[in-house]
Amino acid sequence: MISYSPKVLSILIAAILAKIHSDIAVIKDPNAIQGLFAVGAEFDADTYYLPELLKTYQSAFKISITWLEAAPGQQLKQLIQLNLRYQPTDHALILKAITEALEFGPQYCLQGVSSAARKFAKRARSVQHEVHRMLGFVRFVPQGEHTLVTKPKLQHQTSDLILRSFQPRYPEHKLVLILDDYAISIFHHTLKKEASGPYLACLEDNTTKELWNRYYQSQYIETRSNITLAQQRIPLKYWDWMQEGEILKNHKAR
Amino acid sequence: MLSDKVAILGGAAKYDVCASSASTQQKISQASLGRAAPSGVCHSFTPDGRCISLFKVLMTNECSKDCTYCPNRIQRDIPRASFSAEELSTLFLDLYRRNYVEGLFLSSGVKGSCQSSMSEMLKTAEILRYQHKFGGYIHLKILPGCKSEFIDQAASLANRISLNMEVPNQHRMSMLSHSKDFQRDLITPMASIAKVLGKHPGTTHTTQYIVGAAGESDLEILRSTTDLYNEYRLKRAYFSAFQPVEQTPLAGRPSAPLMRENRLYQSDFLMRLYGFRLDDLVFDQAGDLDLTLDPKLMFAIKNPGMFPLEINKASFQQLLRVPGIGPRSAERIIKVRRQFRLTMPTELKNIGVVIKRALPYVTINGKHFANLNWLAKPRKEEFKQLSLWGIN
Repeated sequence: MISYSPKVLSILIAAILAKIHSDIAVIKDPNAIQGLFAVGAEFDADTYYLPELLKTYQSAFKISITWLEAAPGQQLKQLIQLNLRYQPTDHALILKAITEALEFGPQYCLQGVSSAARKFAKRARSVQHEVHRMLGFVRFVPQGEHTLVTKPKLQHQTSDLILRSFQPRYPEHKLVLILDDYAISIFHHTLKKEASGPYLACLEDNTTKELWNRYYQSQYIETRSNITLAQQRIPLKYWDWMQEGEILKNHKAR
Repeated sequence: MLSDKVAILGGAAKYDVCASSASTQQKISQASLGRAAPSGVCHSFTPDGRCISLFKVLMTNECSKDCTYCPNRIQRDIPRASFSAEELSTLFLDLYRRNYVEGLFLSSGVKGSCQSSMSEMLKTAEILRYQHKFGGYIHLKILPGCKSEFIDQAASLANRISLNMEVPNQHRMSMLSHSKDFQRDLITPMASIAKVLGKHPGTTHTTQYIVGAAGESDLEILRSTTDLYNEYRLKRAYFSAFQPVEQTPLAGRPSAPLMRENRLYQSDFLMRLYGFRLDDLVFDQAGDLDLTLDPKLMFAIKNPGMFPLEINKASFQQLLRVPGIGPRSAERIIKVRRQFRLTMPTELKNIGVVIKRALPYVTINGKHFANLNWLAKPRKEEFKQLSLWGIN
């Protein structure tokens, strides 16, 4: 058995070891109780070094996988990283996609040729999509001169990616995302975990909401009404969270 | 009240089409707020499904022009309003800071003279750029008949400038406006724009056509856009299907079908991104595109000698000619087949090819998977309910 931790390199090494030893890879469980009949892992992926493993793989299968250290390898690692952020994470899918890349070449996996590779790529895209959506859909509320606060609606682990993407837009502001019971902030490219309490009060600010609603309604062209398309673009799950949701609901009811 | 102004001047700009696009060139150094780099960020969508990414607004909707299709024409009895440059820049910055919008799209009616209206717009952009160090996206409309020094200034401040052609030629223009001259007010400023763009890297220019207001054909419009792409450094053309507006001479005219607008966009994309030429497109006798079948499918039907193509051998350019295969999926096919031979339609589907459209025109590893009968009758059959007594 091969054990690995939920990190990109560890999972990649575990997939290579699994192929070399024809064994299965399982994620390390720090809470697992070592019972009398518990089977210990034979290989710990965290103790292996990738460049050496590439040589072992080549001598075992006569296939070079040095692409793992080149651009396609970087792309694969990025997809693994995004898949690890997807909730709920499917480790079996990640391992299968890596195995297919080892067998059929990196592009087979990166371009999503098989069903598993397609799902793997789709999940990565879904995480990126959430970041992209939040860049447009969140509304900041100023707290003082240089702090902007918002409460996003997230499904995946994307809060740090969102803040990093926002940072160049607000070079002189501290940005705060309020999550379930804590907040995460960024200032001058430094991320910090904070208590959410001090920021909650400012979320009640409604000063621009009325103005925006009037502007939003002025942009609508009645003869082009297409609420199905609008719902595709702003999925229903966001309607209770976004202020435009109320207006969209009224249109749908009509 | 400010919100009334926003509703009037926002509503007056709603027929203008635009999108915020990435710009690698920063207009000011050391910006204290905003950047123009990310593209395609939509901040909301209206109930008609259109994206709101920019704060699209007019400086004023007072206008001395008499364009027959325009909601702001001088003869219309509607509430009029104007922003001052300071007022608009403060309002926009508040919306930008709160992340309601990705940038500013500023146009204006012609109040007094074109030059005075243009200078108000430029003043707003200057306040944003120099006073507030705003580094984000600004799109400025160039008003018809604008002098070249104003165009130069606009190109230095904005990430994108645009001048609406509205119609493809002088003949069509004379049907829509008595006060606009096609050559003087549109072509001459277009030439000035093309000239100043070289001085301001990172600034692009676009235009917009109103489709179906002057009885023009699709061929006339596409011929005009091709000229602009080739000779006037146009980045992109937008099309807006004509919608009649009350209290205008064209109020009684039926609106142009939205599908026509869609077909023009498809043809425009084929020419810009797929390597098609105007001659490749199929028009009917009146010079219009088919509304039931898309232009790429029409091309494939009219050129059966080019197909079927073997997916494992066809070049990138050939793949782009196949219905259901776009630039991205063509690129993916090329990448995958260097290491792996494609053998099944599901593999193509997973890559992103629209199988239903593509299969009649390709073979996969030598095999043809589609029903060829479809090629003989590509249009959906229309059935008519006959009268029971044979009299209609």
